[in-house]
Formats: sequence, structure tokens, C-alpha cells
Amino acid sequence: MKAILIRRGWALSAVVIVLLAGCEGDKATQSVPAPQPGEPFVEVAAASGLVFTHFNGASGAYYQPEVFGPGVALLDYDRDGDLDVYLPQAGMPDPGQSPAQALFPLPAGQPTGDRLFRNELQADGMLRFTDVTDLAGLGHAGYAQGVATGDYDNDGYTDFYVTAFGTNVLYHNQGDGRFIDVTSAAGVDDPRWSTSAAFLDYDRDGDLDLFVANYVHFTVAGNKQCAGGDGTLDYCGPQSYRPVRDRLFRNDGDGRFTDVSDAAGLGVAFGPGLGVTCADYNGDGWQDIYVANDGDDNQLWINQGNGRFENTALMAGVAINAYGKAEASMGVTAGDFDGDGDEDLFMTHLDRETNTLYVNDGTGNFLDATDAHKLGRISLQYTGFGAEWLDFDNDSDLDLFVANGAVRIEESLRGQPFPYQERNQLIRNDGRDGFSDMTEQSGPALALVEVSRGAAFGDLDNDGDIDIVVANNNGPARLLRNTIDGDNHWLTVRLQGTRSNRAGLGARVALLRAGKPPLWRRTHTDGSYLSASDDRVHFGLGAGTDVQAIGVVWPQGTREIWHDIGIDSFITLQEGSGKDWDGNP
Amino acid sequence: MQKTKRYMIRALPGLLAIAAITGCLQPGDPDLPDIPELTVVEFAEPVRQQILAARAQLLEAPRDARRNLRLGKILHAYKLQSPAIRCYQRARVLQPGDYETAYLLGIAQAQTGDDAGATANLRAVIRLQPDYAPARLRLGEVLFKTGELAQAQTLFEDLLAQEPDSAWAHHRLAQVLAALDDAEGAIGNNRRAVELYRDFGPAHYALALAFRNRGDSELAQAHMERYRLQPKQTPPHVDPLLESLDALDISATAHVRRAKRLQARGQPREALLALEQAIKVEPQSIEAHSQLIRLYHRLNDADGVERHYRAVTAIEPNAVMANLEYGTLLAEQGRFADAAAAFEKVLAANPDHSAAHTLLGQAAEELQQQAGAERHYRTALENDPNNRRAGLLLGRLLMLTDRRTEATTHLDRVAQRSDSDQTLYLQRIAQVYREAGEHERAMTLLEQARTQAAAQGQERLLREITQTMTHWRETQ
Repeated sequence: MKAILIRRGWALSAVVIVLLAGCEGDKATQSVPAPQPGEPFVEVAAASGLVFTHFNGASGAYYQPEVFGPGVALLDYDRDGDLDVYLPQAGMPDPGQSPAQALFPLPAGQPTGDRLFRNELQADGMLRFTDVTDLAGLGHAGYAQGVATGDYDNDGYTDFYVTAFGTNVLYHNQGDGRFIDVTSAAGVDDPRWSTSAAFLDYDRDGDLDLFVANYVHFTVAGNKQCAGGDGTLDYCGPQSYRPVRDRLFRNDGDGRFTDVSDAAGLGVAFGPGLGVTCADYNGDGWQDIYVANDGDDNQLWINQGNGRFENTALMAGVAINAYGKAEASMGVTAGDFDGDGDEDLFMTHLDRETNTLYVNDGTGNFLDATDAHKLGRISLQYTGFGAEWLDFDNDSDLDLFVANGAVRIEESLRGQPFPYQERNQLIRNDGRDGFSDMTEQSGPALALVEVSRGAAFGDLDNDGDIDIVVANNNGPARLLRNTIDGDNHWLTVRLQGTRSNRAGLGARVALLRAGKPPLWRRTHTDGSYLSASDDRVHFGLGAGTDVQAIGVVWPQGTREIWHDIGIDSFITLQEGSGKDWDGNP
Repeated sequence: MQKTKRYMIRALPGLLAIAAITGCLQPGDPDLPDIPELTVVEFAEPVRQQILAARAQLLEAPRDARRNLRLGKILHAYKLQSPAIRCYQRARVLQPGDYETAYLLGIAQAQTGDDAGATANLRAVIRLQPDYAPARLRLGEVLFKTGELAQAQTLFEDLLAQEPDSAWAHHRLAQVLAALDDAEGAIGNNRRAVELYRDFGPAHYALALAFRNRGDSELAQAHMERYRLQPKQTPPHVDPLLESLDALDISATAHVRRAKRLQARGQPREALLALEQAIKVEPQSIEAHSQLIRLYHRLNDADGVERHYRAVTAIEPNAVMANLEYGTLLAEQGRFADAAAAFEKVLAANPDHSAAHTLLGQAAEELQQQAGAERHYRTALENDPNNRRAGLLLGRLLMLTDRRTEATTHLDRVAQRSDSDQTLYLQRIAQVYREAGEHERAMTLLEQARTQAAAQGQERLLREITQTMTHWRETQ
């Protein structure tokens, strides 16, 4: 049985057709900076029309939500074959204040509220974005934080959930380019301060449920005044407020969700949640949930297969670091960086703490291997937020990107209007030699010093490598277009569930190679921080062209295999169209 | 335009302060780093004066090593590591043989991530003052962090030769050995660490994971339970040089910190003095006033509570801790409606405050408003399912109104959580069942509480439970 093969050229043709059909919008007027040899990314947001500046509503009162957003989502909402970009926007945290009281006003001409940018990928591979927020019926005007994406009603169109300091919103994709707010009807509102969220099929019934991480009980009326050592006002840490419990909403399959947080056993442990990533951490075929908490024990909710979860984080070794210390966890990503077939966790933390790598032994027990893989020292001076395992150079192993930005005044920036800027990091997987920070050698795109928060990852220009959109607090969104040019091959797989959820979120995909261990990747949009990434699975292949087959373990538990796989291409694998897979090529 | 202007205005005092200070600078000395420029305008006045005085003294004699060291220490005490490092570096050049300077410089460098600098200076301390054990510990920690495992191992072993009963040295050596894949060596040292300091949380945690990896789940569980009881407990660091920094910190925050320490040591009168000192430094400190309310409450000094409650509510009417504490005092005085008003203030600022809902529920019960009480307990649990007090009170209320099945669910849940308070809750749940006429169940729970109290060395509680059991048996 052959895979449904979409060659790169075909995908681009599809894009061209859409463009010829008469897309409207602003034309990018700026020229795209040319990449220099050896620089893996070039920043092209403004040049491609992705013009968005985050407004945090800071007024000098140091309301805590001001420094926590925003996230970003990459989703192909119009199914034209390329990734569009959704950027959540904040407002004034105190509804009694007007935007005129903000220290950092919204740039002239930028509309308020969240924005959706349609990708109008050019035939020559150049990116061009058009703001279609109004056309799409969007423009949420609350105090948005993050986004989670997933096709919860399996109609083939990606829906999304916006988290906020205040009311969250579930948008249903109508399939005609428009969205409608179905929050109330679906019963998924949470009025508390929500941060990251994730769609997952925890009960294996074929539709996507929703997990929402919540942060702390901050209210404007209860705002506390926190100060640094010299008495200068600064943002409070999570300890100043009590944490809010997280929520799990079960999809009832009829457009409605039921809050099953208590029934699922999630009420017994919670902290100030900021990051979430769902995967089958113990290899039992059921989706588990990992929650990264800020300054408190993290939770690893192991799915018991009966609708209940058990928090095993402490004994699993992922609640606190090897030194017995709960860290200020922000973003989190799961991936098989060491190629042993299980999901390892990497999470970002406050400066003076290290980011932490927990290596899975395959049974859901982990070892803090941060120092052993040289990931400790390189992160000490940064406060990390968004992060993802990605093979940016298509050499077949998973590297890391970390979006950084302080939450406490940076001493070296004291006196500046918004002294929280830091540089982001690109960290290369050097195999047995651990990881190395290659930010310095990565050119101007990685030299930007901003207050980065969310980051989403995906192949925006459909050229076979992973691009990055970084959402900055009180600053412009950035698009880092991957310009890696070399002989490395790649393969991108889109899953199409029939019994499982439509995008196959939670499926494990193995690329089988002759004489080499399989490369395992997971279909996901969750992880990072407040953000949602490309739901396609990307494999860098290095110089190898010896792809024997692709195996998929679907969320429903079935295993299928497809042979005759081409490389340097996009393929779609439909559930039920492959052969039964016994684990061998 | 408006924003720029606002920033100019905000920054002006700081700029003036910098200008005033830098204006006094002497021309640079090529052998020495410059005396750091400082912005001290944001500090409370006494702290500002302390820093400026030390700096003025230094400017009078810029080559005086002690004066450089002193300014460095004061800045370090306020966590201004970068300028502190400059002062220490000057002192180090001027008096290379002083181990105190080298040590504090090394510590400040380690805190700012300058591992190379920290390593060099901490090594110097070991040369200059081999007996100063904390230097070996700190240097070992830096070397471990930078991946110099063999050197770190040697240092911790040297330290153990010097101080065989150092729980910290054993624990740190265990970390190095674990990193070197010597699991048994790591276990041995962590075991010794918990022998030396019974409640050493991180050592118990490391042991739990080590036994887990070895497949010994029983020992793993046992150590994890010990960790859960006191997760953050560690042995005190005996480090006179670092303690001397703490003594220089005269900020309100430091006084509050000291007061909390004194309270924990059972010295409430001394804690009161520290908190009053905090108010002198910073009269608007909500934290200090709130702690004073709590402390005066513990000392049954209603006037003290009133005085500071008035002070804190003038600053922040809905201050959480102050209103909770004040309301509790009023409730103890039988003024339940007034108590409820104080708790309502907390909810005005934090509608989901679980503890405030619990206390409001209790006040409502006293005011014979059972429905209101139940609603508050349920809201408290909705916001924090681990709020055992709310669970216990709701369970009790349900039991009293003959809704036993649901009551039992709540009480069972309260009983299940294992930590250092579990014994107390078992005792209270037993009381609820006894009041409900379930004597056998009450005795079983009390027996459980007694076993637990004995296992955890809770002597006072053990005596109390034993007496209660005797009494119940006699009166059954």
C-alpha cells in the first residue's frame, strides 16, 4: 500500500492556485535580508508582512500578567497547504484603565486584539502574510496569553483555544475561512488565569480532549508590590499568590466538553502551571500529561487507562531537579533526542537556575541529565520560556531552540524602560558530546535581544526545514526563516486519522532506516510555552536516502506501516491505509 | 512623547544620584578597578545612608583594603553582586593575603555565573586559610557545576577528612559519585548524610531515586516519604563569613526574615523586636505589619493586633494576611460577624481565596448560617482540593446534617494525605466520627494517629492521643 505522496512541487502548486484565485491583503514592501553563509536563520517577519507588536498594558503597577505573554500558533486554518499564524494579544490588565495609560502604547495603525495572519506562500518560496483577522471573524479582545490548536470535532479544519488572564475562548473553524466563538456552548471556559493548554485524546475515544494549565490567583485588586534588593518595584514571583488548579475537559463528541478534573484525579496536585506537553511517557499506549510549574513541583500525570490519572512526578524523577529543588519551570518540550524510542523532557527555567533535561528510561522513570549533556552552564544566565526539540539542520538528531526573556529586572539593563531583554538560543545536539550553544555563530536573527516568550515551530515556507515564530512581550513578533542550505535530506509526514483524531495528535511516527535505529517523532502541536506548532511530523535525514518505511502507532493503539517512501517530500498517511505493523521494517 | 517624558521624570532622581556619586570619584588608578557607580535612590533611607556612608569613607581612602571590603560586603548583602565584585576586586589587589576578601569575591562570582573567577578565588582561600571549611564546600560545588567531577570529588573528600560529620559534604560527594556512575558510593554518602541530619530533604530524595534505579522500591518509597515530610529541610550552613553579610542587611525585608527565624526558634519576643525594627526602616511594609498582627495574636496582645491592623489597612484595606489574622482573632473573641467582615475583605481582592472561604464558612457556622457555611467550604475546596481544613469542616457539617456518605468521602480524603500534619487531622477526624456516634471507627482512626505520632516522634501529640483514647474507652 503506498502512501499518499505529495511532492514538494505539488504542494507549492496548490499554494499558487490559491494565490491566483484572488487573495487580498497587504503586499510586503520590505526586502528580505539575505542570509549569510553558515547562518541558519534569517529574520523576515516585517519583510513578509507578519507585522504584529505585543501590547502588555503595563502601566507602572507591575501587574503580574504583564510579563507572561504572549504565545503564538501555527496552523493551516484554510487547508491551503501552508501554515498560517495566530498571535494572541493582551490589553489592560485592569479593566478600569484605558490603553492611554499604558507605558508602551500599541504602534500606530495596529488594531487591538488577537490577529490571524494568512500565509500566502509565493511560488518562489517567499513568505507573504496578510492580516485576515476581521475576515475570519476573530479579534478576541481580552487579555490573551496563549493558544492551543486541534481539530476537536474531526471535521478536518483546525480549531483553537485561546487562554487568557480572564475568560478563555474556544474558536470553531467553520471551514469557510471563518471562526465562531463556541466557548459557552462547549463548556470550556475557565475564568481563572490560564496559560498553556493542550489538546489530547486521553480516553482514546477518537476525539480531542482539552487540558488547561492555570497559573496563580492574581487579581488587580489583590496586586502585591514586590521589589528587588534595592527597593525598586519589580514583578512579583509566583510565591506571592496561590496557585490555581488545572483543568481537564473531556470531549463528549457532540460539541460539548465536561470538566472531569476531579473525576480524573487531577485536583490533588497542582502548582503555578505555565507549560504542558502530552505524550505517552511510560509507553503503555495512553497519553499522559506533563505540567511545568513555576517554582513548585511539576506534575507527571500518568494515564491509568480508566479515565483517571496518577501524579508520579516525584518518584519518576521529574517533579524537582537532581538537587532536590523545585525550579521555576516555564516552557517544556518532549522529544526523543537520544534516539532510544521514548520521550525525553527538556524544560526552561529562571536565570541562575539551569534549564533541565530529564532523560526517560523508557518506563516513565527519568534521570536529570542536564549537566551530563552540557545543558546546564549555557542556560544559567537566561530566563527561558518557549522551547522545542527541532532538527533545524536536518542532520537527523533533535536540537533545541530556547526563547529567553527575564521576569526580573536585568541588572545590566537597569534604568531602561523595559529592562527584561535577553538573547534567544540555538543549541545543537552534538551526539555523544552533549549539546553546544551555537547562538553566537548564528547571525543577526539569533543576536536579537528581546523579551521572548512563546515560540512555535513549523515549516512555514514548505521547503523541508523548520522555521520559528517567536512571540515577544512588548515587542514585535519575529519570524526566523530557516535558511540551512546543504545536502541533508528530509521528510515531512502529515497524519490523517480516521478512527483516531483527525490530525493524529499523540501518534508516534517511526522512520525506519536500514542498519540504523528508527527515528521516533510524535505528532503534536503542544509544548513550548503558550504556543502551538505545526502538526506535521518532520524528519531530518542527514545525508541518508535509505528510508525503508514509516511506521505509525496511532493514538487508538493500532500500528501501521507504509513502504516506498520518497524523501525530500511531504506525505500524508491516512489511518487504515497502511499494513499492520509488527515493529519491524 | 508622553512616555519618554514619564521616564525622564522617573529616572531623574537616579540620574542625579549617580551624578552626585560619580562627581566625587578620584582619577582612575591603573592597578585597580574603578570604584563602582551606584544608584541607591530606590533604597529605604536607612539603607541608602548606610551605603552612601560606606562609599564616602572609601572615597576618603580609596586604597584602604578594609574600606573596599566593607562597601563590597554591604552591596553584596543587598544582592548588588556586580558592584560588590568590583569592591572586592579592589580589596583583593590591595590586600592579597586576606582570605575573607577572596572568599566573598569567590562567592559573589559564583552567584553571577563567573565560575572561572570563583574557582580561582576559592582556591586562593584554601591556600590562605586551609581551615576555613566552607571554602572547600563552595569550591567543590562550583567545580561540580562546571563538570570538573574528579576535582570536586577530591575536594569533598578532603573536606570530609577535615569535617567527617558534615552532612553537606557527604551529600555533595554523593552527587559527584552519582554523576560518575558510582551509584553505591552515592547511596553510602547520602545515607551517612541523613544519619547526620535526619530531615535532610534533598538527600532523602536522592536516595529515593537511587533505590528506584536499583529496583528496591520499598527503600525508594521509604525515603520518598521522608522527603515528602520535610522536602526543603537542609542542615544549616556554618559559614561565619557569609553570616557577617546577613548582619549588614538592615532592610525591612531582612528584619522580617530574622523575625521569622526567631519565631521558628521559639523566640517570639525577639521576633517582635525585629519586626518593630522593620517598621522603623519601612513604615509602609505590609509584610512587617501583617507579621506583627500574627505575632501579637499569638501572644494574646489584642491591642498590638488592633494597632497594626489599623496601620496596615490604612496602607492596603484588603491586605490578605492581616485580614485573615485579624478576623481569626475576632472569631476567637466571639465577634463572628466582625470576623466575617474581615474575611470578606480578603475575598474582595481575591474572590477565590480558599483559606478565606474556609474561615468565612466557620464564621457562618457560628452565626447559625449552615447553608452559607457549606457553600463557602465547597468553594474553598473547589479552589484548592487539598485544603484539608475545609475538607474536615465540610465533612463534619455533612455528618452533623446526616449526609454520611458524602461526609465520609471528604473525611477519607483528608485522612489520606501523608505529611507532618496528618496525625493532627486523623485525630480530628476521629473526633468527628465520635460525635456522630461511630465509636469504633473513631477509635480505629485514633489508633492510626497514635501509630503515626510514634513513628514521627511527635511526643506531645502522642501523649495527648493516648490520653484521649483512655478517656474514650472509659466513657464509651
